Amino acid sequence: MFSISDVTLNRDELHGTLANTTAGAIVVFEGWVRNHNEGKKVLSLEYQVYKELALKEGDKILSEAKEKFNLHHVMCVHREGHLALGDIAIWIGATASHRDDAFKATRYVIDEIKHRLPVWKKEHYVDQKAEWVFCRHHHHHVHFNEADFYKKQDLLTNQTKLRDASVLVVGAGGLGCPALINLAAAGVGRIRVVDFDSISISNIHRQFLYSPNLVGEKKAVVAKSRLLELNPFIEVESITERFSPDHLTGVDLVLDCTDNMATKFLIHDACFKFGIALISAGVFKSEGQVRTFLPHKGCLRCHGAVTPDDSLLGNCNDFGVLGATTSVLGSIQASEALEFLLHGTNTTSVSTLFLNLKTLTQHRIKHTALADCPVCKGVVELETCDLEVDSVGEARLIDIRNLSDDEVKNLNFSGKVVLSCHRGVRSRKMAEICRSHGHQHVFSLKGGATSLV
Amino acid sequence: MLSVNVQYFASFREQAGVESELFEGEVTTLNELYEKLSQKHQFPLPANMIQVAVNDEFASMNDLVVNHTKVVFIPPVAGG
Repeated sequence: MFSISDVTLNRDELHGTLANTTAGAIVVFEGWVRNHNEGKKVLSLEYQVYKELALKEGDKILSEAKEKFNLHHVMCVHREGHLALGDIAIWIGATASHRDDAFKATRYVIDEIKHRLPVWKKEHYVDQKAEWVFCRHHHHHVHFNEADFYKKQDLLTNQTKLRDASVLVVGAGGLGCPALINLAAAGVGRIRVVDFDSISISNIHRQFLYSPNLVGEKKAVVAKSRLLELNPFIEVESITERFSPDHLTGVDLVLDCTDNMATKFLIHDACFKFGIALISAGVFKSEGQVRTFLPHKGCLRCHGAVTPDDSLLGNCNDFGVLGATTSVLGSIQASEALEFLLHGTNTTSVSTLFLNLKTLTQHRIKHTALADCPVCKGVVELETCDLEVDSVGEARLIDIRNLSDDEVKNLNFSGKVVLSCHRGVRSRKMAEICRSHGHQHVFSLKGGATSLV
Repeated sequence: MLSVNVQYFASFREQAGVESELFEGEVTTLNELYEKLSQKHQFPLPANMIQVAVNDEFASMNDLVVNHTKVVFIPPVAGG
């Protein structure tokens, strides 16, 4: 019976839900937004909650209260979002046959919540800059100052530049996790995480933002919560979709931390088109590559004309991967990102880094722009990552209405292929299956064959 | 007859079974060189999906092979 609410709490309504004629007492605790804290005049509050964990921990605390005391009922609602002075920040109600249990349980719940719940409070003051207060520490009256957070990197960075920066990280997996942790910890002011995938148990050995209790949750959502827990002084936005060029709006730099060539080329082409710097990395067993593309200074297609077919390359599922390897490569991406944000350039924009972690050797290959590259010349066509397309275009159309699932899976998928069925439902499902088997250029015709007439 | 030092990365290294080898023979472009080595080692990637560097600088597969250079074939790397 623990919940989190982003709207004003109604005490009468909450009280009503606990009404019970067998109970002899109710004790209610309300936490309010007060107008002062440690000598500073407070204007309003903002609560940020790491929801997945807070809901589990909150329920646990209420169950403990029920075990410890003789209760009929106990419930608690914690607010999130923006609160005005006088608003209820937390409401706890406990009913029991006898008052003593109700008093003790309410006290127990508020104390444990203050200790254990992952909640942050941003206080907006009358005459000072807003400050984040981590409630778990607030219990011990510890206040954190943003300047202290960055004290040990002061001599190396320009914190204002980092705070003003906006970085998009595509893929919150093996490369994305270490990249995100490092960017967040360093104080990059706005981080946007794009990942459509959910956490699986086989991710965790290399994707250190996650843990087994979060299997099934969306990676981008959990990553956002964890990063805000790590650094409450930044802003993080999560997008649980496949990458689309729309996600580039307002960003200064993109980190490509994805694991397939179709998406890598799509990100590259989109960044090139919109003139946004890109740091791309990839891993093969214990080897990795990192390259930075600065706007209008050469491109990926100067040297490789077509998007490589992912089914020819294999991925982490086929050749195995270690967390130690992706951590190093993802951290190098972050380090190169900070270098770019602080100085406008970096070393992997001059030459690509090839790092072998087995032998600890590196190889650098210098970039050259190709004079007659079609992309550099400005003829860019963005490939689509979407599963569904509205028209067939140049692609090969395959009608799957008379084919079995196995026959579809064993089709020849060279080049771009669009599957169609009667109404576009089965073809969508089959396109999804084919993609999961590594065929990234398989699409489904939206609306099916009927849409072609 | 041309003589070039060919180096491999990632999956190429595994498929070739060596880190580097000396190529001696008659070829004109890097593309032809790749096709020759591809037949020898059974590389699965077509030439238009890979990258090539000559003396540690990215080059085009259509460039001519120059005697006594170092040629590196680089497969795309997607994992993460």
